[in-house]
Amino acid sequence: MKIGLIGNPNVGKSLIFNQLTGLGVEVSNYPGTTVGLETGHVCYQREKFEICDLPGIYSLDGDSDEEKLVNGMLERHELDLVIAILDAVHLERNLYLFFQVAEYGLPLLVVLNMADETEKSGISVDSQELSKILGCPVIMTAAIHGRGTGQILPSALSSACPAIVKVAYDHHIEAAVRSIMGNFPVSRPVAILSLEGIGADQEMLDSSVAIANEIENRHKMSPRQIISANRHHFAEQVAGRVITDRQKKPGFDLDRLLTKGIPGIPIMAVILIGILLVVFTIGSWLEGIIVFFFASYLVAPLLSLGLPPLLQQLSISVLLGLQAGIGIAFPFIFTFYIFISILEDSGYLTRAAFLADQAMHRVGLHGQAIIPMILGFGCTVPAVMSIRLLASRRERFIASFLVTMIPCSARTVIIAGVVATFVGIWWALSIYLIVFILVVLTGLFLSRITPGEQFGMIMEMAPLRAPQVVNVVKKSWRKISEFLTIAMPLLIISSVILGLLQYYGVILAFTNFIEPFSTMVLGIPAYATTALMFGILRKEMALGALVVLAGTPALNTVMTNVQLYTWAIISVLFVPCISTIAVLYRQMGLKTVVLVTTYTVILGIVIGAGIHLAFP
Amino acid sequence: MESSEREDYLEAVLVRSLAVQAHTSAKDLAADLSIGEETVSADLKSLEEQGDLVFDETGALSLTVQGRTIAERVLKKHRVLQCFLGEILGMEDHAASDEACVLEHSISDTAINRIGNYVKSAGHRRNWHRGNTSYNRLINNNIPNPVASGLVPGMNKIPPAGTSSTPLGSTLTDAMESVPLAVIGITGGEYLHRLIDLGVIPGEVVILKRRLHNNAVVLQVKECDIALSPEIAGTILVEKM
Repeated sequence: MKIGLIGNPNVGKSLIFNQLTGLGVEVSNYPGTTVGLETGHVCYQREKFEICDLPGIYSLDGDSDEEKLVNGMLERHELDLVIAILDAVHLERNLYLFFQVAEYGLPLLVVLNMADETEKSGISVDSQELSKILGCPVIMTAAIHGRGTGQILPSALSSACPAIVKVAYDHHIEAAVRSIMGNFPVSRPVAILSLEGIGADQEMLDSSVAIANEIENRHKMSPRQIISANRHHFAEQVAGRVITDRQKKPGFDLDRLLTKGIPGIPIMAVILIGILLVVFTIGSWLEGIIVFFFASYLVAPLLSLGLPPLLQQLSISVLLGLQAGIGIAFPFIFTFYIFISILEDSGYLTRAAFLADQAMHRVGLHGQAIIPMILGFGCTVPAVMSIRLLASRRERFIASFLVTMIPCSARTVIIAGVVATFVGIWWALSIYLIVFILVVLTGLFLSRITPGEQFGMIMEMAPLRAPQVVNVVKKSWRKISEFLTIAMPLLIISSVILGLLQYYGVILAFTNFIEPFSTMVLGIPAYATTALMFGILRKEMALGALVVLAGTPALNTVMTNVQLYTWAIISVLFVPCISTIAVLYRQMGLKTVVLVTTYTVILGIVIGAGIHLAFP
Repeated sequence: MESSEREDYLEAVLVRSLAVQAHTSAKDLAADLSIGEETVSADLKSLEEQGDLVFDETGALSLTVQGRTIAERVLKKHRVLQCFLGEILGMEDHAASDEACVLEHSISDTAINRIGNYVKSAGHRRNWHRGNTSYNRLINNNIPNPVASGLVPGMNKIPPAGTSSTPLGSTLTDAMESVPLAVIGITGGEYLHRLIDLGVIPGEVVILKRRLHNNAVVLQVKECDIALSPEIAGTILVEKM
């Protein structure tokens, strides 16, 4: 049995999905967190159920991938039962989609989520009355606190039924729908969509267009407008019957500060730069402790054992790999994810998007594109996936470049571990400044040469919420455990392979080969350029490799400050990591990947060579 | 005298006052409109009797509030039509202007509003990044605020009549914050679908919660806050409740 969770963006579908299935899909407080289809299985009373978390949509009659996906599943009856999740605070707007879903006649359960927030906004919802009007069961939940979600599955299985509620459309629309259904063997919702000009059957669309034109001539409004207006008015009536307004608690509206140019933009700058500074400080403090522990309790005793050379090389490599992972990457990445999670859950990202709209227009994007870019500070892979939020191919193309250039947390590790530690924290921040300038220039350039249409921002503001400590820690932990299980073994294995290659002189050969280019053009030692190559696998591995090849974590003893700075900036800019390349390929196709990769490689080399020229 | 003649006179006086700011006499108008001086003098007399304009002791004439209101409305219609005929339909400048001279008297407010919004949104689609479309430059910026510019004697004391301060077809980018607004229509075709889904439909009452200096707005619709780019806010027509 297949159960689908359907609802508007940002109503808590993913949170409920996680609580039902025990899986951990991404949950955030901005619209559009779930882009694809997530499926999980759950056993209830010794029966197995498949639960689908569908992406949030506002209606079924759009042409975005998400709308088509949900619409297709309903049309082909792929779902046996639908759990419609509605935001109790914004019931009227949410009912609009619900009425459309209800037309498909599937068994329904209505979940009024965010019941805890209705009180704060001064309303109360009569769920029994709503259930009576809709003709299907309604339950109230507050998924963020885990309240009521236990009831969802039992209620759905025992009492879900098709809704009896029906939107009364204008009589011309009803007549047109009857006529389409008389001529073609389709269901009512398909006929309605066809009248709005949506569908796959060309013959039916053609005859619908004729009827639609007639209606438009008479009403001076297109059928789509009439149908939507009918649904909205009906939603208004139903909401009016079940919602009682009470006195709204007077409180300070934070948005009075956050969405104003002043102080909103300074606040945004303080938040972003503050996060970087705090991550640097906490990260390097933790790093100091962990590296000291490794050096004095593991590496030193191992060296004093006097093992045979090959064995010693291997065991040292394992230790250095571990050290690079736990000692350098872990403190920065974990701290970073905690802050990114807080930002995601607070609803602040949509405010940042609103404020950034004007600036983003200059680089050919709009405000909403700031969300992938901020996510990019965490990890480029989910950031590239969220590029799908953008409507046109032109915007997605430009965003692919810009998002890949944003220093992700792995690159932060390099900036922090090399520049902040050895050269100085302000020099580390200057790398962000350089990258920022390059991003702007790239955007200005691309927005001029990229063909295609430009859409503006239409974005629902997520409500501001205090992030739940448990949710933030869980989410950060899930991301960091991904790092520990996927990246750490890779780091250790590659460290061992590096050690072996070094032992057998392969690295030396490559280093000799790259030597002229490295020292002449980039001005950094050849082994450092060799280390850069490992950044293609994972960005932080470049640092791991550098430590192994230099033979010491105290990099300032083997390289000058300018060399360290140059090395860091090249590895930040040049080549997205292999996972980014893969996800970019899936999202945008081969051409974009090749362009992005070539561009970043050239950019890295040019900037590196430029620094070498300026400070020989 | 026919109302179209009256409108032509008043419009001509307004255009002169905007262009040269010097005083206008009956003779000047006769030259502008290519009509005999006697006829003009007689017509101006009757306009003075109707309370549309006043002569001072030197024989220079200026518009009253009533006269200026009518003149501004006609001039705006003229410019909307000229812009539509010239920029959208591609007519020659002087031909568009001549045509507009005839049409401006009979066209209804509703029709001119719709044409204005169409021109505006077409301009937005073409020039969104410049912020100021040719429509805006042509229609709104050329008519200075009569009180501030002191063009109309004695206007400082009299509050401007309601009609003259309301621009033809105001969009969200001209609206004030925190005032309930009724949506009249949406002109930008490609954004229509998502806006409709979110409840921005004709008749809906919305509140403008925030407007940045670049005209990006936060709009409260059905208890939800929605952020819109300037080029989208500019396609939503509203009127004050």
